[in-house]
Formats: sequence, C-alpha cells, structure tokens
Amino acid sequence: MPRVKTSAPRVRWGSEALAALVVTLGCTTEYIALGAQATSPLPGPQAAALGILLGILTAVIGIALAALGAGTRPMISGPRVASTLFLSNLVGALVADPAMAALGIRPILALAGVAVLISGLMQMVIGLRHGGSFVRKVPAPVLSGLIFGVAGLALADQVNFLVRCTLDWNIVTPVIAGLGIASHFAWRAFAQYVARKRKLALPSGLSLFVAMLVAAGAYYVALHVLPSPSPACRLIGVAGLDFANWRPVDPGLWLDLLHGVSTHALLLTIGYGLVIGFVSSLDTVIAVSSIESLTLRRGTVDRDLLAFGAVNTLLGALALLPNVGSVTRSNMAITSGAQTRWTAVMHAVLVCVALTAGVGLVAMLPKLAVAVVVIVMSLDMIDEGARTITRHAFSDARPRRLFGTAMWLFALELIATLASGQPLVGFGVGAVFGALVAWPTPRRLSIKMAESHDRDGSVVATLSGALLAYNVDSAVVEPLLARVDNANAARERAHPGVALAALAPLPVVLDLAGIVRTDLTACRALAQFAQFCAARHADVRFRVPAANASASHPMTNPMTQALPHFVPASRLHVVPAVGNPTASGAMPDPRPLAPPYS
Amino acid sequence: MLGALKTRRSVFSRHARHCCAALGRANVFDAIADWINSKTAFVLALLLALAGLTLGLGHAAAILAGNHGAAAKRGADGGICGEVQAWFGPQASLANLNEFLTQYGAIVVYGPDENGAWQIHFPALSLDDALQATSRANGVARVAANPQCRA
Repeated sequence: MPRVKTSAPRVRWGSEALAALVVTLGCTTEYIALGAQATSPLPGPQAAALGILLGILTAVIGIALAALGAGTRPMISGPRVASTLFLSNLVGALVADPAMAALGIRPILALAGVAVLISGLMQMVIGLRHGGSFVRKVPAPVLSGLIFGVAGLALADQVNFLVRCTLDWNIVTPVIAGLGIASHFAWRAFAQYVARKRKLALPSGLSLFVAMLVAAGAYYVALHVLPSPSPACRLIGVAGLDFANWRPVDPGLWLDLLHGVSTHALLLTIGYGLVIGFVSSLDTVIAVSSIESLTLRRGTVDRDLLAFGAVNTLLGALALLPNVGSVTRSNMAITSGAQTRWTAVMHAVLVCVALTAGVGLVAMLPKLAVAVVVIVMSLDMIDEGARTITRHAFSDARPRRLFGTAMWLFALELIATLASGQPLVGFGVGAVFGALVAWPTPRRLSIKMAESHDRDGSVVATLSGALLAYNVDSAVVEPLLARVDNANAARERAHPGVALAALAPLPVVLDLAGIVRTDLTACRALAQFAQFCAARHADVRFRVPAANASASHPMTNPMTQALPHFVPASRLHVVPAVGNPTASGAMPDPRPLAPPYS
Repeated sequence: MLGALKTRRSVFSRHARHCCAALGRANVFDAIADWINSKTAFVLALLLALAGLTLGLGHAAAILAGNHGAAAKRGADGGICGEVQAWFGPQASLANLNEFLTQYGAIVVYGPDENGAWQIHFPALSLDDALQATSRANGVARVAANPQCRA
C-alpha cells in the first residue's frame, strides 16, 4: 500500500540472508569480470588474475563499508562497468607511457589508485556541497553517449583479445564466445518465459553466471579435442591471485612513483579521477532514485555521496577499484526480500567466504569465459536514454529539433569516444556541445508555486521560460518533491488516524504553457517526477496548451509536442492555446482529477 | 473505339498497378521502419557489436602488423624472441625472479643458454627500457641485448 515511510524497517534476518545469497550468486561473476577488465591493458598472463583479486577485494571492502555509511537502504554497491572501464582506460594510457611502463605494473596500479582516491574526494565534495542534483545537470544524451562509447571500447578490447586467441586456437575461440553470449540471452528469455507462463520470478541477473559456466564448460570440452592455447588465452591461474602481489602500503613503491611519474601521467590521472568521480556520483544518484521508487522511502543522496566518497578515498589509497551504487544489484536484492543494509553486509561476507574457499575454482576459470562476461555486460550497457533517443530520432517524432539535437549530441560524443579511444575526450566533446546547445536565449526559467490551503492541499506550479537539463532538477523536481512531502505530512496531520493511502491522491499541477524552450533531459525528468509523485500518492497533471496551427500563431508550444512522448496522455491536461478567444485571460481551471492509469 | 477503350483501360491498369506497387513499396518501407523503431534495443546492440568488432579487429591488426606484443609472431615462424639476455647471480631467488617478471608482464623465452643467459621478452617495454628495468632487478648480475632479435 503506497505511503511515505520515514522509519527504518524491522530486520527480517531470513529474508535478508536469502536476498544476500541471490545477489552473491548473481553478482560475483560481475566482480570477477570487472576486475579482469580493469587490468586487461597490462601485459603478461597473470594480469587478469591480479585484476580479479582487486575486483574481489573492492567488493568485499567497498560493499560492506558503503552499506554501513549510506542512508539509503538496501544499497548494494561494488565495482561497476562504467567507472571500471574508465579505470581500465587509464591503466592502458599509463602502460602506453614509456616512463610509467618502465616503472612496472605496481606503480601503474598505485597511480590508478590515486585516480580512485581523487574520485572519492570529488564525491565527498559533491556530497558536502549538497550537489546531488549537480550531477543531473548533464544532458541525458551526453551521458548515454558516454556510456555507449565506453561499452564500445570495452567490447573492442575483448574482440581484440578474441582475435588474437583465434589466431592461436583457431575457430574454436569464437565458437566458445558465441555459446557463452547465446546462453546469456537464452537465460534472459527463459526467465521471461517462466515469469509469464508460470508466474515464477527467476533472477535475470544470473544470466552472467550462466554465460560464464557455459563458456567455461565449452572451453574444457574443446581441450579434450585440441591442444591447449597459449598462456594468454588459457586459465586465470593461481600465480596472480597471490595476496603478496597486492601491497598497497609500500614506501619504496611510492618513492619510485614520486621520482618516475611524468607530468603527462599525472594529468591523465587527475583527469580520469575527476571523470570517474562524476560518473560514480551519477551512478550512485541513479541507484538512490531507483531504490526510492521501489521502497517508497526517501533516499539521502548527499549523505550517500559522502559515504561513497569516503569509501572510494580509502579504496584508492589501497590501490583498488572504485565502488559505486548499483541499480541492478539493489533491485535484485529488493525483489528478493531485502529491506535493510544488512543484506549488503551479508553479501560482502558471502563474497569473501566464497572466494576464499573457492579460489581454486577462480584459478580454473578460462580467460575466454571472463571475456564473454565482459562482452555481455557491455551489451547490457545500452541504457534507456539511448533507446529513447534512437527511437524518436528515427521515427519523425516532433518537435524534431528536440530529438534531432539529442541524437546529434549522442552521436557526436559516441564518435569522439570511439575514434579517440579515450572516454575523457568523448565526454569533453559532449560537454562542450551540450553547453553550446543550451546557450541560445532564453535561458532562464521562472517558477511560481502555490499551495491550496484546503484539506486536499493541492500543489500548483506555473513555469515559464526555458526548461532545460541544467535547471529542471534543481528548480523544478527537487523543490516540488519537497512540497509534495510537506503537503502529504500536512494532510496526515489534518486526518489523524487515517492512512495516507486511504485519502484521495494529492493533486499536483504543473502549468507548462509558458515554456518556450525545452530539451529531452527536461522531458525525461518530468516523466520521472510523475513516477516519484505516484510513489508518494500524488497525482501529477501537466497543463499544456493545445496545438495551434493558425496563421497568427504558427508555432506550437514545445511541451505540447514533446511531452506526449514521455508521459501517458492521461497525465496531460490540454488547455486552449493563447490567442484562442476561449482561453484569453486567466488560465482555465484544471479538469477534475481522475486516476491516470485505468 | 474498342481499341481506344482497351488502350485507355490498359493505361489505367498500368497506372493502377504502378500506384499500387508504389503504395505497396511505401507500406513495405513503413513496415520496415516501424519494425526498426520497435526494435531499438536490438538495433543499438547491433551497432555496438559492429563498433566493437571494427575497433577490436583494427587494434588486433595493428598489434599483429607491428613487432610488439606476444602475438606478433605467434602462429608464424620463429615464436617470441627474448630481446633481453640476463645473467642471474648465485644469490637470486625464485621469489625475486617471479616478482620481477610479474612487474612487467615479462616472460622467460629461453634459457639458460650455452653462456648461462636467460632470454626475456617484455611485451610493453622498448629495448632500452627493458634493459634498464632488468639491470635494476634484484639478483641480476649482468644484462645485454639479444643480437638474435631484430627490432
């Protein structure tokens, strides 16, 4: 029953343990694959194992500490694809620097740790400055282009590896990879089929585990027929899984680094650190929003960013990978019954136990199987934003300028990332073009809010000017959500003893008739705002003027054309356009509110 | 008269066929466009896979065309060449050797040879850097470039 909860839920240890077990089964494969990806640019057959060691240590230390520090529950974090790929890219750039390569692998990893440390400090600053919404100012196409480009680079890394292994071990290499990838999609399809036919929810997150098992099985079957491949394509092995290789507190190493580090390497480290901090903050904010929607409890974005920043600062000092809040893992935990932070703590303990006891099994994993997991994780990185942009850009949706601009931003950033091989360059290009797109006037947004003092306490906001990526969250979504929460609290006080869900939904009206400019990010933010309001038992209506095709007013309001692509028609309240005699003067009263989804 | 009518009818039917064919083609194109729009995730995954394949193949080709990297000569004639020759002193331990090799992702290609030298290959280092790094390693008594390896 939807209602705003503020108190911490009671701990049900059985449910929490079950959720931790499911998450461990589903996500440990990810930690292994991401660790291997992080060190994939390093030379030598033991680099993958060293990376796996770092990935697992990050998960064990990071997940538990972040869960204890974060206020949003249940938050399952760990190494994440985007930030790990940035780190991997940094490691590759450092290896390519002759001065750094001459110092060896450990100083390179220590410098990569400095980037993680910088990212942690940046997150802490964002959290302390209450900048949770700052990271949401970046246009959605820029973020989608960045994620898509990073996924492309990760895929290219693995294709490069597979091609070289194919030359060693002939056609059996792509066959094994193909089987692994196919099994991932087969599991997804099977889980959907079972959910549809049998009403039984199989964790779709287990698809990575299945893909790894199938690829590993196929590898061992092939070994019966063919001679084993070269060491670069064989097993993870035990040599790199030696804890002695991970000595973060080593004064000699830091002295070497101090004397040997080049300015180029230092600038790269700082640049990547800042971008990793930004991407990690964004991932964490998205995870908090998702948990809010699922648990109907308000998240504590700034406190969470502070906690993750502190954890990443520690992980950076220990030369480990960045730890980031995860939407998919948290959703998996919540759907399995998790309610509190103890699921994350138990998950960290289980990962530690499983991999201490099963280190021999990890050593027996073929590198091909790990490559398969990274490939399917890359394919899974196609986010909802990229799909929305592509679907609308190629379907002649209007306003064409809105969707066309989004597609151009997305494509430019993608091309810059893939062509340069540097996500940092791609992000820079995307940020510059994003700023240029937002530059033309009008740039200001004015918002007037009013609250009814009736018992229904409805909230009405009148917006005019430019509603764009950089102002939608801070000027509209955040203050309005706060108003909704206040109004709900007032209604609870006005109706003592009556549950909020038993009352009529709180009416919230956004009058968008005065908006003259908008973009895709703002429209998506409004759609998400409607979902947040629905979770808070509030009913949002967007008041937009009717399309005006008359000769005197040939321009149709951008919200009238754009918003129907993002929110259901039942949430739109179309009023006669300005210039129409029936609408001149005051804004017409909203129609009576009805449930939006019948 | 009848002939003219027949001609007119045939012209009409040709037009009608042309129009219907055009209409049919338009419908087919619309249907394809609708299908592509409804399968955005698939189209994007295909695009991602193509980008990854193109870039990955390009990188692999660049590595194989050059003379750096473990796979440069793999599957061809002579195998990997250990460009550095190292002589270890009597105090060198296996732990020293392991740590040194792991630091640079280096591998022992051959050795000891008839002169007591071990041939080591460094995938990520230039010859000069590899010689310097080896000379700094614990337990190494002497270092030289391997004249049998061509750059």
